[in-house]
This record gives sequence, structure tokens and C-alpha cells, in this order.
Amino acid sequence: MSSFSETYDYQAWLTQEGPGWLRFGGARMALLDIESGFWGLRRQLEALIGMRLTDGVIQQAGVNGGASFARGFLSDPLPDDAGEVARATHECIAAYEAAGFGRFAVVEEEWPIGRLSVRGEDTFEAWMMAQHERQPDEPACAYTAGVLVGFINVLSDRNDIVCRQVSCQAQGDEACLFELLTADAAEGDGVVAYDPDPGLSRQLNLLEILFDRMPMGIAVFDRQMRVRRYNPTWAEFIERYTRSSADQVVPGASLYELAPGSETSLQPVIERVLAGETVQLEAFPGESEGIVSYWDVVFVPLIEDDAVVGVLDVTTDATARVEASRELQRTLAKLRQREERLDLVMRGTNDGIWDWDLETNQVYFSPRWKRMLGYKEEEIEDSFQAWLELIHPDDVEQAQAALRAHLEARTETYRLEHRLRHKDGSYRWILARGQALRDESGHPYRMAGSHADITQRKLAEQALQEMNLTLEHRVQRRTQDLQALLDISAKLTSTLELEPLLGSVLEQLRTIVDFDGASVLVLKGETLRILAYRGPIPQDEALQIRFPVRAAGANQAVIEQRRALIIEDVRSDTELARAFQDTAGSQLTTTFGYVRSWLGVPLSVKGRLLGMLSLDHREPGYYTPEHRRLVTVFANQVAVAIENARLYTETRQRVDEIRSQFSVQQAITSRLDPDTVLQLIVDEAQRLTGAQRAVLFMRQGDELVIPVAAGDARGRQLIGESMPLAGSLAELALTSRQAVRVANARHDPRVQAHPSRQSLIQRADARALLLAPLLAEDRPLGVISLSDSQADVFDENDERVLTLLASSATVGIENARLYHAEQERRLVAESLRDILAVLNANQPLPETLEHIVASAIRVLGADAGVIYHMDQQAQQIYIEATCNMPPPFDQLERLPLTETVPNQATLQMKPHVQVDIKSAGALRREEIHRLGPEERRWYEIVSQNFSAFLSAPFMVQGQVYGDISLYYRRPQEFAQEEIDLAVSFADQIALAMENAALRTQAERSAVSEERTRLARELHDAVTQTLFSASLIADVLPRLYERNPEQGRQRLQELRELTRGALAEMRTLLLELRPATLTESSLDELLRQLAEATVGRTRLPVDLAIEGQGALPPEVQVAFYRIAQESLNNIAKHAEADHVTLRLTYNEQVVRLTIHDDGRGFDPARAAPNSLGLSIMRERAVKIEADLQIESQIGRGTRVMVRWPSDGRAKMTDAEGNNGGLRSDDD
Amino acid sequence: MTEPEPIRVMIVDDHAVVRSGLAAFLMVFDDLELVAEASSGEEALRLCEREAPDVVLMDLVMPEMDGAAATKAIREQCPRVQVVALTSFREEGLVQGALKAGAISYLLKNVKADELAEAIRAAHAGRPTLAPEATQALIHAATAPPKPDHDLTPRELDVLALMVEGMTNPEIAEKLVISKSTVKFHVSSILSKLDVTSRTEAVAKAMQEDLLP
Repeated sequence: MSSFSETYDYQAWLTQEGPGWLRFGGARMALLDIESGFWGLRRQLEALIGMRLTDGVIQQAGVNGGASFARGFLSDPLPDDAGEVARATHECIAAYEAAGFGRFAVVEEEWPIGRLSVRGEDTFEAWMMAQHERQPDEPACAYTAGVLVGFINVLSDRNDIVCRQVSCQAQGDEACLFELLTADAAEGDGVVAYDPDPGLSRQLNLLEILFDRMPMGIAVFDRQMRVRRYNPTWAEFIERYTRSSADQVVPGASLYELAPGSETSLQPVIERVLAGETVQLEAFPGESEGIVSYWDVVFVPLIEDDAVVGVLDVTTDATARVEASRELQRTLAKLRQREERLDLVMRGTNDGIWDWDLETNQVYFSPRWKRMLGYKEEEIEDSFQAWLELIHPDDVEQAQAALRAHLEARTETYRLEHRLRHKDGSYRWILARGQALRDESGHPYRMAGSHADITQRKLAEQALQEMNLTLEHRVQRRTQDLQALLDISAKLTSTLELEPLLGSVLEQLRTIVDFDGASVLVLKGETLRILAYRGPIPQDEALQIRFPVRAAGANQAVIEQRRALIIEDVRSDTELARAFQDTAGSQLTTTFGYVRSWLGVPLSVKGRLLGMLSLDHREPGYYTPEHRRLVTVFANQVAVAIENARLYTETRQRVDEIRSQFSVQQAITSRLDPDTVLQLIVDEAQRLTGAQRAVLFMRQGDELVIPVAAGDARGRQLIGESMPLAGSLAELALTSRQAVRVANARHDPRVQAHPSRQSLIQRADARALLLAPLLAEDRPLGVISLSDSQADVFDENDERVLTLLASSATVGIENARLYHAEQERRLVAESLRDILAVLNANQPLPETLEHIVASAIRVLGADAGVIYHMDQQAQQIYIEATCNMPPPFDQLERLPLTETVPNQATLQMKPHVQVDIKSAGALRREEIHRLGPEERRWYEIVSQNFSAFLSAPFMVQGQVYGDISLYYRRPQEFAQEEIDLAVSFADQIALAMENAALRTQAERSAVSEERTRLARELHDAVTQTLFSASLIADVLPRLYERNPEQGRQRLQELRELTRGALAEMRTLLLELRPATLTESSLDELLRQLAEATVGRTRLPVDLAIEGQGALPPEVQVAFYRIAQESLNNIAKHAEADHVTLRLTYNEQVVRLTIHDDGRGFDPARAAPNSLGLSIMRERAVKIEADLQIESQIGRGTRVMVRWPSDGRAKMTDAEGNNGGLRSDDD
Repeated sequence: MTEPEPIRVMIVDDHAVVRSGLAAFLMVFDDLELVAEASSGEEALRLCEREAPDVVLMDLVMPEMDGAAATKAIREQCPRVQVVALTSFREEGLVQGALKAGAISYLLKNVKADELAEAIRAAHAGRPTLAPEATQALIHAATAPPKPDHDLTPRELDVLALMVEGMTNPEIAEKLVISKSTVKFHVSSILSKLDVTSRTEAVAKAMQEDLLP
């Protein structure tokens, strides 16, 4: 193995690459350009040898270079003259300058060498540093200094001259100044010595040794990646990581041949390097023939004269490191796994630990886990099954579900309270917690966790639960009592449930404070109403009394002042008494005649005024402040009672509302009949609000119609009515998108200003009104409306309830509508699909049409349907298909097309709708009289059975063809959608008709094509025969003259030809008028065929007919055709010498045989359709005859058709009739 | 003075009758000699090489290799041989086809014996003879307005052909191995190009105007 110094030394560079410095300069550039600069080189070198390079080493490199170079200038022997040394020195420096290392000038010299000052500008170090914008701390030109030292020491044959750099351009000086002087003179202050220092020399050696021994592979390649230079380490790498040996590494060897396969990863990188880029890669993977390695590598382009001439490869083996790092990763993963387990264990502390390996299904249960259940270590098997067996049967399902949920990552952690069986048979409550460990793809491979015994807590919980249960029971019982009480109250039909209670309360009051009359008045809005009364006025009458607060006299004072007031004598002249008198008015001496003194006390709860209590007495001055105090206390209790009652009522009402809402929702979701739902909604609205009536108005275009109503009869009478939307209160609600509440229609400007509103409201006898709009998104559907003949009966609460119900109604209507639309669309789609299927099934037209009518009836909900075809030329209507029409209708086949028939509209291609035949479309008696019998029948059937119809016309081939009419028993309204649908059915019919026409046309054209083909062939045959005949006739005289024998023969031929042509002409005639085929006898037809064949082909044909008979026409035609086809085949293909045609009649069978002695064919190989064989077979099958075709290559062909006559062929004569025909008969 | 060599004539016709008649015809002309008879194009080609005729009387409508194809092959193989088309058909296409294939003359099977003999001599001398009907057909072809093709694409022609066979769209789709919607697209394009509103009309028009190749 060659060492680095052998393959890469400076001397070699000098001598090989000559001439001297310039080339060296090229190499210099290559080295220096590593990382594009000197400092890069330095770092690189340092990285290479793994130690810092001192300036000394660099200098030494310079000295070495300078010395080598200077030796090239030396004459041999060495100059002994100082002048010569000085000259050589100047030359060397000039050459160095010329090599581009800077500009130099000797500024001071002393020879023989004592001192030499050299001024340098743009030394390459200074230049490089300027490039890198670096300013060094010390003079930087160590290499240059070394070169100068090398020069001077070699040239003057000394070794003690050193160099000191006095100034440095890189440090900002104007120029670099180098002083060369003896080491003694420098007194150690020198910066460079020529090898006086053994350390430096060692370093230099070290450098070389390092190149050889470096654990780093270095190689230089040319552009083709052939090895130019390399170090032993690089060769070792090849040995280690490829199948090549180190011995194979020689200059000129290709890298890709040394390491086959490496080009895959290397080439892209090398391409970049060859383009001039320095590429540095870490852990770069290389693979050669299965050996994987990793490299930290630097590829440096070697540049010469601006061209990349090669690649320097500096490589460190990173394989071990990468593998170690992978191993580390694996170790870390294992560690982490262990940590996870540890962590779980730590978390478990006192709990039992389990660890379940999902791959093996093995479960590790910690001793503590087992102890918790009273088992010893070895008493529970380490398996999943062991755990499963311990679970309480009631918990198994839940436990498995929880496990599954976690394993499928549906839960963050596994957490489950379940019971496990203790060894003593009891069950322990266990809180299980755990977590699955998952691989990168999320797949669980292990699951571990803890068990905590929570039996104590569970027991406590249970106890608590039981206690709660007991309490709940008690509460329930109480609630039940209460409910019973409430139920009793609820049974009272009056809305004033409080009345009896208050009545008796008033009775009780009398024992405390005497009165003649006492009333409890409640405030509703601005009105006072008597809720309970005891006194001389009849109860019924008293309970009807209500009056506005504003005109309530003394009562008003109590309400407004919110304090108890006493009138000592209502007839006195105090302010309060006068107020009383004013209120009572004329009743002062009648109804209220007994009243003299009066006590009014306000009823309030928590500062809210509910009403008042009033007492009166026949004795003037009866009530004292003491009474007032007592009654006030009493009034507080009454107020609480009233408030309680109100709260109760309200709560019950809310419950009721919710229940009602629930039932409405249920109705919406379950029953999709919108009318039922809407009825329920208005019923509930009426019931919940206590309104006299509830009515639903649905918007239909510009109208409002009433589909449902609830409440009194007057409301229900409105059902089915409609009225314009414009100007209605409903419109107001719909446009404002808010509920409209009218307290009193008689005073409300919204009603009074609109006469239209007024009249409706008056008709309905409505005083109070409440309307809520039904809005589906932005579409106004209608309104739900409450009304009452009493004014002022609807409050916010009613409005809330109604609004709620309105939104339910909206949902209900929308649901029903969508459901309906969806159903309809599905039906339509299905039926259209069916029709298409039928159309494509190539069924006969009548069946297809019937199918379409049936579908149309189903989809459009009609009772029956007809497809009419209107023939305008014939002025007839034909009935093409019917469905569900009454039986008499089926006897009709066609009608005259007259104006009286309503299908006239069809002729204008317009869908036609008759909503009510009986009223609108009925013909007058005299018109009926004018109808023809068919028309009248038609009219009677339709008008007696049906009320409405819908007709949609269709066109076939651009002509109005007819229509589909759908009949309904009941009068109908037709939506545009339905009309469109009918039109689409009509389109289907048109399609079906066109399909059928197309098919017929195709069939027809096939038939005519065959006939045309035959005719053409026959015509062609005649032409050929006649051409031949005319040619012979043309030349016959001349021929006769030359050769009478020939002439005679040709004359005979001419005769045959003309006879043949005649036969052909007859045959042709037969083809043009197929009817003649049945008019002539088969015998005659066959004779004609034979003659024609002879004439055409010059082929002798023997015709033999045995027996006699007449065949049914279709049999005759088939026989003829088969014979014709066979003869055609023979003429065209057989190359026969002789043909026999034999027809045999006997009692059972008529047989025709056509036999030739031609070349035959292989029946197994003949394409079924070739030679018209299939046509012949078809013909035979049609007449139920048996056809046999026998043939063999080279053995001729026999076609035989046997028709079992079974006496059907009329035998006329058993006598044989033998007709022979030969071309050469003479 | 020696007799000039007779013109060597070969007859090609699938009709034995015609061959027989032509043979009789050739007998009476001393300068015409029947050297071979062929009943098919293939046979003609074979015999042509062997017998080296001067003039071939060629029927055009024959099974398998037809007259035009045989003419072309003969002219390529033996360029010296002149071919006279002799047929009972006078359709433009046939006339053009035969001449294009290299026939020097086009005669109908109503030609008189002497005319035919003259035509054979002319052909031998490199002069063409055209039956008046053939001339007319050629003139008509040159002056007739081009057959309307409505700009139908080859694919549309395929589809139209299947429509003519009465196939439904799904059947067409299956046959042409394309999707139903593609067929639909083609059909509607055909309808609009033919300026018709229905399939039936399209089929009728295709047949009337002989749009299908």
C-alpha cells in the first residue's frame, strides 16, 4: 500500500505537474479553496488532524514550499558569491509574486545575509482576510513568511534565518513588512525558524503521518470519479464497506466500480460538486451490494483555471456512530417503556397493579392486587381470563365495554368501578384505572393500571343512596298528598278555585270582625274583580261585579294609597264618603242601601299589590282603628293564600303547557298527517289560554284559509272558509313577524281603522284577540289566532304560550310538507325508472303503454287513465291503452275527432285540466243529442264515472300524436307540479312510440334489404347471361364461317343462354312480386330455378320430382327459398360439375334435396352466418321442417329439407314426374 | 412479311357464362388470342405471372378479391399488362375505383363485339376507351355537389349506424364500450347536426341521404 507521502507530496506536485510555482499555485488554490479561504483550510486541516494547527505549522508548510521552490533556482554547486545569492533571492521573490501570491519589493538588504526587509502588498493571507472581512489580532501572513524564510535559507545555505512580520496589511497597515534576519539577531522575537526547532519538525512529520494514519479517508478523483490519490484509511473504508478489497484501490480505479451501487446516492451529490459546490454531509448513507454504511463527508471541487477538474473527498466513518445512535434510540425506547411501567406503579402506590401484554394476553397481577382479593401470589393465574372469572356477573358487560372503548382509543384513560369476587366469596368494589401503551400507529400493545379497593366508599355511597331513597319516598308521599289536594282543586270547574276557600275564610273573619258585607277584590290589569263575597247581595250577582280602578271611588283610594281606610259613614260629607257615593251612584240606596260604615284594606305580598278587602256594616261608625289593625293582619294572610293559589295555578299551567308542548312535538314526529297535528295545536292553544276559540289561518297565495279551529261552535263554523290576506290582522302579524295582541277590538285603532278587519272580527263576535305568526324561515305560512268575546282576557303569558305553539305548528307543517314532497318525489322517481326499464326491455308497445298509464295513475293519484291517439287525417281518436277504466269503456276502440270531445286542447299541445266535469264541462242536453253513438257512449262513461281529468299531449315525430288522460272520481285541484308530471309521462309515451317505430323500421329495412340483395343478384345474373349471349350472337356468323362445328355448339349455347335469361327474368319477377311465389306450383318454381342456374353458370342441373302435391303457401315459399339459396351457394362457391335437385312428395313427408359434387366445406368451421345457412335454418324452423346440411371438403354438399306434411300436402297424383335438365342435352 | 404477334388476352370473370361468351368472341379475331381464363382475382394474379398477357379483361364485382383490387395488384406486379374493366355496373364509385386502380379502359357489358375488340387493341397500344356511361359517371362525379356529410365525426357516424340498427342508447353504449351519457351526448349532437328532433328522423335522414359509409 502506498503511503500518503508517496502519493501526495509536494515534490511530486512540482515535478509531475511542473512548471514549478504556477502549478503549485494551482494546487495551492485547490487546497486553499476548501471552504473558500485560508481560514477554511485551516479549520479543515484542524478538523482533519483533530488538533489545532499552530501558526508554526503553517509557517513550516511555507518554509517547506519556499525551500523546495528555491532549490529549483539553485545552480549546482551552491552559489558562493553573495551577489549571486542576492540575485537568486530577488528572482525567487519575483517568481512568487508572479505566481499571484502578492506584490513584493525588497526595501532593505544586507549581503551576505544579515538583514532583508521585504514589503508585501496583497499577500494572499491579507487578501483572504479582506475577502472574509477579518482583522486578525496578530500579523497573519505566516505562510508567506515561511516561504521567504525557505527561500533565503536555501539560497544562502543556512538554517538560522528567521522572519519577523513587522506590519500586516490585514491588520490595517498600509502594507505587510517582513524582516528576515538571523535567529540570534532576532533574539527569539522571530516568527519563523527554518527547522531549528525539533518540535516544529515533529509537527510537520505529524502532518504527514496524520495524512497516512488519519481515521479519515482522503481521496482525490477526476471528473469521472476515477481515483487519482487516496490515503490508506480511504482504501480501508473500501475494504470494510464494499465487496472490493483494498488492493483494488489503485490510481485510475473507478469509485463506482469499487463500490457498486453507491452511485445511486452519490451521483446527485457529485453532480453538485462538479458544478462547483462544496458539499458537506453528515451521516450520509451509502449502500453497496447490501453493505450499509454512514459517512460524514466533505466533497470539495478541485478547481483549475476556473474549471472543476476533480473532487476531493474527505470522509469520516460515521457508521458506528449512526448505529450506536439507533441502538441508543432503541434503548431509550425500552427505558421509556420501563419508566412508563414504573410511573404506573408509582401512581398505584397502595393499589394493586396489573400489566397486561396484549400480544400474549398475559397479565401481570402484583401481589398487592392478589392480596386485595384475599389470594396468595400463586393462587391467581397471570391471565386475562383469571380477571374475567372474578368479575361480578352483572359487571362483566360493562367492564368489557369500558376496556374495548379504551383499547379502541375512544377514552383517554380506562376507569371503571366494578366488583371482583374475594376469596371469601364476597364481592369487593374495585376502582380500576389504567392506560394502554400504543405504538406509533396508535395500536395498543400493552395496558397497565391499578386496582383500588373502594368497597368502603361504595358501601357509604350505598347507605347514602338508601337514605336518599327513603327521603325521596317520604317526599314522594308528601307530594302525593299535595297532589291529591291539588287534584281536588283541579276538579273545580270554575277558574276561581280560590272562591270557596276565601268564602269560608270570610266566614271565619266574621267571628273576629263583624260585617254585613265583605268582599275580596283582585286587581287584574286596571280592573277590580270580586273574587269572594259574603253579604246580602246574591252571590252570582256579586261575583259578576268588576269595575275599573279609575272609577272605583273609595276602593281606588285604598289601591292607590296602599293603606287601610275607614269611612265612618258613607252618607257623610267627607271626601272619601263622597267618593263612595259617586261609585255606588244610583245603587247607593238600593244594592248598597244597607251600607253605612266601610273598611277597605289593601292585599299585598312582598310589596306587590294583589287587590283589596272591603268590609261594610249597617251601623255608621262601626269600624275602629282596632278593626283596621285586625283586618290588616287578616288581609296579609288572605294575600298569601291568594298568592299561593296563583303560584300553584301558574305552576300547574306551566306543567300543563310543557305536557301539551310535548304531546304536540310527539304528534309532529310520529303522526305526519298535518291536519291532525294542527288540530291538536289549536285544541291545546284554546285549552291552555282559556280562549273562547282558537283558529288556524293558512296562507295560500293571497288568501287565508281555515283548515282547523277549536273552541266554540262559531269558531268551528269558520273551517274551510277563506278570505284575502291583504288588510287582515294576520298580515300585520306576518309582516311584523310578531304576535299581535288586541285587548279590545272596539277601541283598538289597528282594528277600527280597517273596515275589513272590523267585519270579520264582528262576525266572529271577538273582543279580545291574540295572533301569532307561523313563519318557516322567511316564508309566511299563516297565523294561529285566539279570540274571545270578553275584552282584555289575553296577557303576556297567553302570548308566550301561543308563540310557542305557533313555532310547533310551523315545524309540524314544514315536516308534513317535506315528508309529503319527499314521498312524492320518490314515487315519481321510482315510476319513471320503472318506465325506463320497461322501455329498455323491448316489450311490445301495448304492454309498455299500459305500464306507463298504470304508473301515471299511481303517481298522480288518479283513478283511471287512457292513452288516446288522435289521427287528424282520419279525424279519428284511437284508444291505445287503458287502465282501470270501467268495463264498458273497453268496448270502445275509436271515436270521431270532433269539437265536442274535450281532448281538443291536445291539438294545441297544451296540458288540459278539467276540475269538475259534471258542473263545468257538462254538455248541454241538446249537445249530447248531437253526439254520434260512439261519442255519446264515451261521454256517458266518462261523465258518469268521473268528476275531473287531466290530459297531457305528446308528439311523435314532430306531430301531435295524442294524449294521456287521467281520470278522477272526485273533483280535483291540479297543482302545476302535477300537470308537469303528467307532461313528463306523456314524454315517456312519446319515447316509447318512437322506440317502437324505430324498431319496426329496422325490421322492415332488414327485410327489404334482403329482397333488394336478391333482386340485384338476379339482375346481375341476367345481365351477365345476356351479355354473353349478345357477344356470341355478334360473332356467330364469323365463327360459323371459320369453324362450322364450333358455330353449331355456340348456337346451342346461345339457345341455352337465352332460355336461362328468361328463367332468371321470371325469377326476378318473383322477387319483385313475392305474391307470385305462391301462385305458381313448387314444381314450376324449381324448374325455373334450375334453368336459371344452368343459364347462368353453364352447370348441368338435374331436376327430379317424385309425386305431386300442393303445399301450404308458407311451406312452398320456404322450400323455394332454400333451393334458391342452395343453388346460389353452389354457383358461387362449390365449383361443382353437376347438381341434382330432387323433390319428393309422399303421404307423410315432402322432401327436397339439393346435391352437388363440388368442393364442399367443413360444417364445423363454417361461420354460422356464412353461406346464408342460418337463414335457411330459420326458414325451416318457421315451417317446422327439418333441415340437414351435409358436407365434406372435396366431397360436395347435400342440403335436405323434410317437411312432415301429415296429409297437409294435398296429394294430387302419385305418378312420378321426372323432369331432367342438362346443359348439354341434345 | 410476317404476321404481327397476336395480342395475348386474359379473361377474368366469376361468371362462367361470361367467360364462355368471351372465349367465343375472341375466337373470331385473328389478332386476339385467349391465353388464360380466371374466375377470381387471386387466380388472375397467379395466371398473369405465368401467362404474361398483354391485356386483361377484368370483371369488377367478384367475391373476395374484387376487380379493382386485382387490377391494382396486377398493375403493380406486371406494369406492362393493360387492364380493361368490363362490368355491368356503371356506378360512379366503381368507375373511379377501377381507373384509380390502374385500369386503362372501362367498358360495360353491353359492348358490341367489334367495339370490344377495338378497345382491346387500343388498350394494348396504351390508349384508353371509356364506355359513354362511364364517361357520364365521371363527369357527374366531377360536377356533382359533394355529398352532404353534415360534419358528422367518425364517432358520431358509428353511433348513427347503430341507431339505424335500432339500438337503444344503453345498447349502443355497450357495443361501443362508452358510457351511456357519452352516447346521449353523441345522439343529441347528431340530432342537432342533422337538424332533426328525434331519433327516428335522424335514422330516416341517414338512410335518405346515404350518410353511412
